[in-house]
Amino acid sequence: MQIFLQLVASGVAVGMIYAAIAFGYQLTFATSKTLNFGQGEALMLGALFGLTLVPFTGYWLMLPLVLVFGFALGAVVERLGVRPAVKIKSEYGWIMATIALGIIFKNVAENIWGRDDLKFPSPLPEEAITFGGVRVLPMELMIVAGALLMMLAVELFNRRSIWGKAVVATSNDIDAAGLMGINTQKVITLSYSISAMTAAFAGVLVAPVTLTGATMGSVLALKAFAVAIIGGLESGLGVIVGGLILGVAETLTGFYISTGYKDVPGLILLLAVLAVRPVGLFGKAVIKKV
Amino acid sequence: MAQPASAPALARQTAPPVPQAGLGRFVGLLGAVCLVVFLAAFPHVVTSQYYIHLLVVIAIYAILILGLDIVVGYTGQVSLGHAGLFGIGAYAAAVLFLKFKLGLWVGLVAGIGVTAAFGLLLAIPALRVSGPYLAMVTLAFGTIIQIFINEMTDLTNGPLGITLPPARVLDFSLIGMQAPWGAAGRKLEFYYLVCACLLATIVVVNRVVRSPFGRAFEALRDSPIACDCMGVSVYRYKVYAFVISAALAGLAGALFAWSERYVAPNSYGFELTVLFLLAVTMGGRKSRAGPLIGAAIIVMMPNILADISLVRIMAGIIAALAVVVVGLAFLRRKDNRMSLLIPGALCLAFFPATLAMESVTDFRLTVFGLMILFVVYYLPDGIVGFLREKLPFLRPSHTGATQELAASGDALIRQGGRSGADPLLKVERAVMQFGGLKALNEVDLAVRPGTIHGLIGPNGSGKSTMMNVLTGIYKPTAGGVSLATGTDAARRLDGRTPSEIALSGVARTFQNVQLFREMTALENVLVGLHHSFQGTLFDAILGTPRRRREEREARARAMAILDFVGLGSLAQVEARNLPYGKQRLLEIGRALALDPVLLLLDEPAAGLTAPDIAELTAIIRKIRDAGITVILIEHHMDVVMGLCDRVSVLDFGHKIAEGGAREVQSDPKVIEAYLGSPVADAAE
Repeated sequence: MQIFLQLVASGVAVGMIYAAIAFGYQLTFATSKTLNFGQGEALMLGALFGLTLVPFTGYWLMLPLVLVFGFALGAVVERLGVRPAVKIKSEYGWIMATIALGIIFKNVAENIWGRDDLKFPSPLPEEAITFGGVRVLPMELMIVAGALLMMLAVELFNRRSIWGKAVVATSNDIDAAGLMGINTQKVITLSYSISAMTAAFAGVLVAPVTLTGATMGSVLALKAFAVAIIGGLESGLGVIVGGLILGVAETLTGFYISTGYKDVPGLILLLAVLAVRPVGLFGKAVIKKV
Repeated sequence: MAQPASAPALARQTAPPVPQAGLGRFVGLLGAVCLVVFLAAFPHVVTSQYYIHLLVVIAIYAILILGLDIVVGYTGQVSLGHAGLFGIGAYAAAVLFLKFKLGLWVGLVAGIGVTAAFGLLLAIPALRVSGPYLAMVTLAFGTIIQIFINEMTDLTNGPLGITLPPARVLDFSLIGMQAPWGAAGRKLEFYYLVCACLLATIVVVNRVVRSPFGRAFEALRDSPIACDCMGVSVYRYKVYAFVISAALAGLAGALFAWSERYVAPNSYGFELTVLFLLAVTMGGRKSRAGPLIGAAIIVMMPNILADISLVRIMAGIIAALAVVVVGLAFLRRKDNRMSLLIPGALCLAFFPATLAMESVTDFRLTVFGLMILFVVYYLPDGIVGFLREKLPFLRPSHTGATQELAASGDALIRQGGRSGADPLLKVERAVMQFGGLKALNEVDLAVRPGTIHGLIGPNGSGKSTMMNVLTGIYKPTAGGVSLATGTDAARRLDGRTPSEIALSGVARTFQNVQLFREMTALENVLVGLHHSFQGTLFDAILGTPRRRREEREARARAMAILDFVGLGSLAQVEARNLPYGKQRLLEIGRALALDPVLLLLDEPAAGLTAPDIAELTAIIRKIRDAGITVILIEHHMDVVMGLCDRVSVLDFGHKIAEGGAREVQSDPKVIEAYLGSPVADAAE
């Protein structure tokens, strides 16, 4: 039982990272019905950029800089990869373009930071804290808190600020929002920026507990997509639940079956959910008008 | 309801000229002959083993990419799982050797079979989704495959991989003979085997895509809903496309295992998938030459990139071209001159970058990524598509052979309807609920055979919802729909899939035209005739006499139908190039191809000009006279009044009136529904 609780506790931390990335998928999907297939690379670049800054700025001052970096990165991805494809109404186009940008980022990162995984200095003590026999790293607590805080911040932004309201309006009906004088093009860029920003932030959160390197993003992004699907691409609560389900499922698989298979349950779950209920557990079925 | 704003403008366009037929087929044949001669002669001209091996790899990739094109080019789905399928094929062959010492031939068969089975498995979740979802599903599938190959050490030898001996293609020692072509020839056996597989693949893919299967693939890309409503199950044909594509990937994988003589899990990752997609897009989808060109590019590219001086020369050429293109755009004041600046600057910057670098090998993936971006935005139809646009004789001939076929409208429609007073279609207390809204609230409808039954009502009254309930796109929340064809008892329609309903004799058109845009008018009608084909996939692949006879008959029938709706002379024009009014007529023709007993027309006159409307009403009358019952949703009251034998009026999901056209027109309830004024006011 103790081991089980321990596994659940670690699973929760991993799951919150998935949720944070999945949240980024939701942001762009809502406004433009597109996803950044290079979301994992945004996370990786955020982490590596942060790693480069840490010696100069320390961990805490590095955070806002990484947020700015992520924000700019998202805008670049949207302008180069998504906007032209959306203009020519090519689904294949934006999928391929974001994938292409993703592999370019990965390749460039490999050439700048090397192919080996690097150690990210932890800002918090690395001594585990024990809660009733369950050992938890302070950094894991920070991951959960940080991810929740960030999602909360974005929600507040959407509800309170005028730009956030424009984002919500665009998500509901892009044509109507456009007719109301909202610059939907800018809103889409903004949603990409926020999306990449959350990914970059997730990157610096997760980096101290995992290794940091050019390849760290790919699998994380894929599993975050599984989380987004399980939770439904429209539901904010869904991604948190989905993230927790997946994170725990993974640590359990890793312990009880084999660490080699720990990536499998998420992907199987993804296939299963799509086969049974493509809109996700928390999503609403849309009626298509013909 | 919503009338397309551009419709009148489109209708005024003249019909585009019918493309020249015949030459395209000739070009294809010439290309095929050149390819055979090239492949046969290559090892005798270039004796270097290195180049022969390079050609083998190109051919193997081409086999896979030809298969990938079926999924990407024809059905329009993005698959990121093909490297995984390739790996399954390779491992199927390699494991059989490792465990049972079974050689090349069994390996090939197993590669095809096992991978096709996995393609089927992949199709199950992939069936219900499309676009980005499908891309992620296939990506997840590919990742799972790689993990399993890595982890199932007992079977696959894990990360160590499997080493294979040289392939033995023909084992003459079994019959106690020496190979007749000596030791030098023996080395080429595998080369010729791969070439034979490539040529066979080209023939198979060619036949499949030109068969009803290929048409179904294209149809489901352009409009899945219309495809289902033509009785062509999107569900089933997506599976076919995936399985065929997977089988070819498996064949390629098995050949690859024996050509490299070593398989390892890391060779079949995401990057390989991206390369395959680059090859399909860059070469040009929906062609045979495209995948060959694409395969050659992705195999040669690493070699070119390894040679820095060559890269510098190419970068110089690219930079010069960029200067010329951007310069010309500015001189001619083209609209896109600003948007060309960024890629132009990037191309320019690339040249000094290559001068500064010692080697670009490390940036191989960046170069591939840039190539993808370039292709997606500036060459979306690939090299072959670009050439086809510039050189008209390269365009596919479509179906020139049946150009002279024509027929009168007689005996066109096989009368399946029946006369009599009993209703043909009966809707009983149909309820359709969306959330809190009842779009249909206990609506009864009875349509007598041989009549034109009008369905009218203000916007939002539930007419289109009724249409969608009748054709199975919506499943009614409650109530029943039944159709009485022939002399049998009425059959229930509710709860069936759109394609089942279509096949039981209910055809429809759509409020917003849903044609298969990239297919010709004739091919659109042929999709409607899909039900008349009995041939299996093997008939299509082998080109059996049955298949050819069916195709001939279907084409003749399709021409007859086109003549019936007045589109005979436009048979070879792609649907997207037809004027709007003709598109509407083509949609009706396509629906007629289903041999319906009941035809549902959803606002057929919307957006049409007066002469178009006159033509349309004449055709609808002809259809009724041929024995087909028609349900007509329409806002043009003169059309409704002139055509309909009986009219039902809907308002807010309720049926508020029914009767003869004149009778309904003067019904106070109907007037109220349309004008929104109280009954008393209207009566005064």
